[in-house]
Parts: sequence; C-alpha cells; structure tokens
Amino acid sequence: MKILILFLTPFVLLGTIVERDTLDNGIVVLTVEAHKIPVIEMRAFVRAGSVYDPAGKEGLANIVGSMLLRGTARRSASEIAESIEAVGGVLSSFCREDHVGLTGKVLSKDLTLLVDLLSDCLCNPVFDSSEFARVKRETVSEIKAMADDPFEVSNREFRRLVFRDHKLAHMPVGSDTTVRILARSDAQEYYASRFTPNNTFLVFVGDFEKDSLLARLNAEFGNWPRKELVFDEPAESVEYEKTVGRIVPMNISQAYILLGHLGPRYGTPDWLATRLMNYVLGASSMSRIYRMVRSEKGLAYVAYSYFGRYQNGGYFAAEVQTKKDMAAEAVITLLDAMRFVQDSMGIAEIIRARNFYTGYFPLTHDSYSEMANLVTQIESEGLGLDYIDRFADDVAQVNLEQMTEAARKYLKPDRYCLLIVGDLEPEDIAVEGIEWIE
Amino acid sequence: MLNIVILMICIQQVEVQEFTLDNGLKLLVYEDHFAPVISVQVHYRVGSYNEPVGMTGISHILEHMAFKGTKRYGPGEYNLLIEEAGGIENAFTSVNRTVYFANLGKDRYELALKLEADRMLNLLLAEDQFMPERQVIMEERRLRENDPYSSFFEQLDMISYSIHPYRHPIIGFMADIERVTRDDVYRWYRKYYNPANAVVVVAGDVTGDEAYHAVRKYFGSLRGKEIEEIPFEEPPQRGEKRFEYKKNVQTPALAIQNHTVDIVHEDLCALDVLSMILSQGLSSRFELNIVRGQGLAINADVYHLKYKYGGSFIVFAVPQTGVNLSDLETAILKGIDSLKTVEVTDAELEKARNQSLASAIYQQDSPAGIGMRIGWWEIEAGGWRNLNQYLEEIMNVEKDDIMRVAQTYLTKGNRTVGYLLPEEEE
Repeated sequence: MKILILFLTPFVLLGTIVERDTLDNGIVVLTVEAHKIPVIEMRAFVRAGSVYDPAGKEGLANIVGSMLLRGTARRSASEIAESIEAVGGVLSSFCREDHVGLTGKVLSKDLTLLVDLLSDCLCNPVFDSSEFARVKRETVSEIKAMADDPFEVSNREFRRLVFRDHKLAHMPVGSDTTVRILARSDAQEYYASRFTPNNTFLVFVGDFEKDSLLARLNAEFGNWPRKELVFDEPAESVEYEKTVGRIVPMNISQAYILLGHLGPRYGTPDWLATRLMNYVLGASSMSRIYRMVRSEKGLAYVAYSYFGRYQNGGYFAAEVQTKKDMAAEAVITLLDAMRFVQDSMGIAEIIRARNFYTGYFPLTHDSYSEMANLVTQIESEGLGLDYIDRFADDVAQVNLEQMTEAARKYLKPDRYCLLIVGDLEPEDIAVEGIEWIE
Repeated sequence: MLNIVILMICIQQVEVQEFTLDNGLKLLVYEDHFAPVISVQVHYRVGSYNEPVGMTGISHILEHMAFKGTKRYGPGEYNLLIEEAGGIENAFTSVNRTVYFANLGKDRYELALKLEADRMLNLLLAEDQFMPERQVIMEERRLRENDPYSSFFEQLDMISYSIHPYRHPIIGFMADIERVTRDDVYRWYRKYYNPANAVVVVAGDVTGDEAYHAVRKYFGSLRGKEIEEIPFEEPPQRGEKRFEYKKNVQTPALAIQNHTVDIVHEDLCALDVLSMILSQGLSSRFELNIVRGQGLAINADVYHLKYKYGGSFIVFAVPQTGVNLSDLETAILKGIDSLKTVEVTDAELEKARNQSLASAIYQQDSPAGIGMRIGWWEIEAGGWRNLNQYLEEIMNVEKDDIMRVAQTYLTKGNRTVGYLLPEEEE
C-alpha cells in the first residue's frame, strides 16, 4: 500500500511518499525515500514495552531493551558498538510504555551494516550473564541518581498516584528493588515471548532505494520465525471517586506540582478535539495556564498541561514549579484554567488552535529524524497512512462544541490527583476538598 | 581512504550566502528545499560575557522582556502572531549571544522578520511587565538550583575561572536578578540591540535573493552602530584547584575541568578529537574502561566547551552505587594521562574522523538546526566559514597532535576538581 502526499494543503511535502510493506514473516516496514542528504534514519519498534512487565518485575522490559545491544551470537557488546561507531553511525536502544526497540542513523553508504546490525541485535541477543549483571548494576545506579532530581521524582510519583495498581503506574525503568531481583532467565523468557517479527515494525527514512532495502530486509530477517502471540493486556485503570493529594517531601526551594487524572488512550475518536482543547488550556505560550500562571501572575517559569497516551491507558497532567508559598495559588489557578476551557472557550481561541496546528504540521516532519518519528507515531497509534494527507482537513473540521465536549469529558477539576514534591505540608495548600494520602 | 575523505568533505560543505546591509546587519542564508518551512533567527552579539559584576543575568532578563511589548505590539503579541501563523518561536541567551528564532511555513516567514525588526528598535520594557517577569526569572533560577547538577556546574565555573566573565552564570546570581532595574535593562537594550551588532540567519525553503530583499525591506531603515568588544583573558592557572559542593543529593558526582584554547586556536580540533576518543559513544575509552569495564560510573562524559575567549575541557562522571569519588577520579585521570604517553591507535583516530564527518552531515538534516550552527560559528567562532574549515582541520589532526595537546592542556596545574557530595557526608 502506498500513499502519495500531494499538494493538498499549502505545507505538505510535495511528492513525499510514505509506503507500508509487510515482509514474509510479518514485519511491517514503513519507508520514506528522500535524497536531500546521504543519511538514513531507522526505528525498530517491538510491542513489548514496560506495560507488559510482570508484576513485581517492573523494569524488565527496559533491561531486555538494553540487552539487545549487549551481545549477540555473532558479536560482543563491544563489537556492536565498535562496528556502528567506526563509521560514525548511531545505534541505541530504548524502552517506553508500549514498545521496546532500537533507533539508528548512518550515512547511506553504511545501510548494509545498519541492517546487518539491526537484524543481529533484534533476532540474536544472547543475554550474556556478565553483561546482564552489568546492565542491572548500571540501571540501579541510574534509578538512585534520578531520585535526586525533583522533576524525575514528581513525574514518577504522579504516575503512581494516578494509575494506582495499573501497569502504567510505573516508569519503564522500574524501581531499584524490582530491578535488583531480575534474573537472566526472566529476560530470556520475556524476549522469547514477545520479540517476534509479527510483533515488530521498522521505519526507514532517507537516502535509500526502497525495493533494494526490502530485499535486504527479507534476506536478513527471513529466518526470524513468526510466532503466535498471546497478549495479556492490562486491566482498565480505575478512577478515584474523590480528589486525592500526596506530598513527597524533598528539601528544595520550590514546590513541583502535578495536577491531573486518568485520560484518553490511543485511538479515541475525539483525540484531535482534545488536542486542540489542550492547546487552549496549556500547550502554548498563549494558553490559559501559561498566561494565568506565568505571564499575569509571575508564579512560575514552567507552566503547561499535556496528555500522556498509550495503547492501554492515558492521563492528563498540568504542571507547575513555583515558590513554596505560592503553591496553593498555583493549584487554584490550574483548576480555574481547566474550568475555563470547560465553560468559556471562545471562537477566537478555536480559530487560533486550528491555525496553529495547520501551520505547525509541516514543522513536525521537516527533517529525516522528525519524519521518522512522525511515521512511527502513525503506525503505533494506527492513524492511517493518509494521516499526513488529511491532517489539515481534520483540524479544520474541529469545532467549538467538540472541543468543549472534550474538555468536559477529559478534564476533572472537581475530582483530581494532586502530587507535590517539596518542603511543604498539606496545610500549606489551602485548597478545599483534597483528601491527603501518604 | 583519502578519496573517501575528500568526497565526504565535498558532500558536507555547508553552502551559505552572505549579505551585508548598509547599516551593518549581516544576513546569512542557507537553502534547504526538503520541506516548505523556514527558520528565521536573529543572533545578537551579547551575552553573559559582556555583563559587569553586579549586573549578571541582564542579557537574559532582556531576552525575557523582549516578548513583553513594543511600541507597535502588545505584551505577548509576538507569540500570538507567530503561533496563529502556525509557527514556533523562542529565544535563549548564551555566554556570547542572545538568539531569537521562529520556525514557520515558507509563505509567512516575513512575519517573523517584521516582528524581529520591530523588536530590534521598539521594545518598551514597561515597568508593569518588568516586575512579574522578574519573578518568572527568579523561579527559573530556583528551578536550576533544585536540579542536582546545575548549581554544581555553576560552582565549577566560579572556581575554575578566577576573573574571566565566563565565571558568571548566564541566568545571573539571584541578588543581581533582584537588583537590576527596568532602566538598567533599557540601557542594555539600547547599547546592544542594533543591526550592526546582529546577524540574521534565514534557513530553509527560500533563495538567497528572496531572503535578502525581505530582510532589507524590514531591517534596511534601522540605524546600525558597531560595538567594540573587549577580549578578556583568564590569567594562566598556577596549580590545581579542588572544591567540595554539598547538596541534598544521595548520589555524588565528579567534575574535572581544564582550561583550553580560544575558539580560533590551532589546537582546538586536536582537543575535540581527543574528547571523542575518550567519551563519544559506547566504544569510547571511558565507556569501555570506566563505565563498563571497571563498573565505576553510570556515565563519564567529556564536554569540550568551545568558547570565543578560552575553552573549557570538562569530564563529568556519576559513580555507580558504592563507588567512591576518589577511585573514580583516579581512574579518569589515569585514562587522560595515558594519552600523554601512548599514541592513540589508527582505528581510534579514523573513528573520530568518521564520527566528525557523519556528524557534520547529520546536522544538515534540520534547517533550524543548521541555521543555529551557522549563527554560532559566525558570532562565537570567528565566522561561518570556519564551520567548513573546522572539518578539514579535524581530518588533519594526527596522533602526535593529540599527545601534545594532552600534555599541554590536561595538566594538574591547569585543573579544577569538584566533588558533589550529599549534605550529611562530612
């Protein structure tokens, strides 16, 4: 299947072709050929992210991701690094909530090497025991270092507060206690159960010829056998029935505030209206939150809101860092902003949001790396290959009623979770209706 | 090999079109027709380097206030107009530059030029806007203070530089942020913001002629006045400096700094190649020996900060749990010292060259990104042409150059060592 992105809006990339092919064993390959510079960007996504970590083994998917580059049947960890870096290339692993994988970048003359390394690392990791111990040790040390950063702590604890027992409650990196107990066999079993070609998609953007790339991928990945997968999808997340607050003590000069609740996951039909609504609420320097918190009151340098969305759930968060004695006012201001977009959004703000996203869209894929990220998003969210083509039209059709409805559906200023990191006590937050929990 | 190098250098050459208006404004245009977008950037030749004691952070305060209204546009209207046009905009201040940029669709990039010309001439810096914005900046500073490492690096700069303005934080000291008045900022604005003290970079789906005519249309009538910048020289360091910095952290950290050279110095590239061999990538020496081999650190990164008036070579390392800082310091210094006595290998040298070549090409992926590099080279690195020259010089670095610069600059007497320690550890 292919789609030609024509000049349907003033800013789509004339003649850009996004193609989607499936290899014999089920690997989906998305390609965008471009020849501005002799560079190729690659993404490899396996649906095996941290949301599938077994209970009590949080951080396992992340360790498995790291182990992809720590030795294969043909190469040691050092040889993998040396091979790619000797030619100036980059190959790194990642683990997010939904996916584990690899990202890479090479000069186009080194495509053969990239594909060889990619297939070797994805299909043949050996989980060497000394490398496994090393990765665990490094990860535990990283987790401990992250505990010194109030940004990291506030985000980690907010997720725990909002998602409670749900699989999205933990960050992909896990905790030091759960990572410490992981066994090599855990990683091997996890890999064996989820790393299959029919659970993987690849993205290539840049200076290559598609047919020869597909032939090479078929040759390199041909022996990776397809396998039936049983997905044990996480249960639905459960909303609080009241407003809850939690303070994480930290000896810092500000209060790191996160206010929010559960939100939409991937695939909700009203996502675009929600996205535009959030632009009005807190996703730009013209937004309500930015103007009320920062421009008008000077309460904070950082003030914004966002939706974190995944395959199996999502959340909304409004975030501010401010002086301790202004924390209560900041919370009240965030709630006021949420109520404003539920009740009082005007047509001018809708038009501004539409204009922004229509005009901004080309900037989201004006380079090979940005294009690779966008194509990855299209595939993982199931947005359809016509997404780029239809984006401007879809934005133009979002109206005030839809945005207001999204605000009323997805914002809960009367039943929210409040997480504060800082040197505060509950009595410092003079906001009614919060039940404070430990 | 030689042919490949020549070919690759030809591929990576960044083609810039240079224009100068009568008022002294320099325009640099980079054409990239991959996507119908354009990045408009105004780089002013002013940053924390120019700030006197007691006025630290004033360039950054001005940068914030530059969004707070002009004679023609109200507070925040710049952001509003750019965002309504689907653009993204922001600004930042560095040691030698203040930069404003907007990235937007090709048919509306003139809007950014129009607003930037207005900003260059007509800022009001109204008192009622100044006070809340200063509070915002104070929160920005507190944010840095709460970051586990920012204030440690601030301390490192203050100790490693004794009198040089690079010892001052770009954001300024809190007392100075509180002290600076609206009138101070206005005088700063009038002194430094004019066409002759600025470089406009236009990068993206535009031709040089188009950009030139558009820039002349909006900036041509402004009056320019050149400002003489006084070079400042840090006196040679006479012996190792050491410090401890206590903070509410659980994980300690280590920084080792050595003074290096001005950006245009002939030893710059050898120091960069040396840095790459030590810490660029998972196959670098520090990664193989210190992080993975001995399990001493989570990371051991080298930053060769290239500044206009004297660079800084910094190793920053965070130990793995249970490793003490002195063991980590010993291992890092041993790794550095080995470069003074044993030549790097052919493979290491070739890898560093290949990484440099590839990196130069990768950086041409984004028009906004390459525009920023062009502006940086123009203002902080002796002119944009050095951007291309730099790569050729990297290719000419030899093993004995690396040994020589290690012996010359990475000495104990030229070194500052800092330990970030938990407060309770005495």
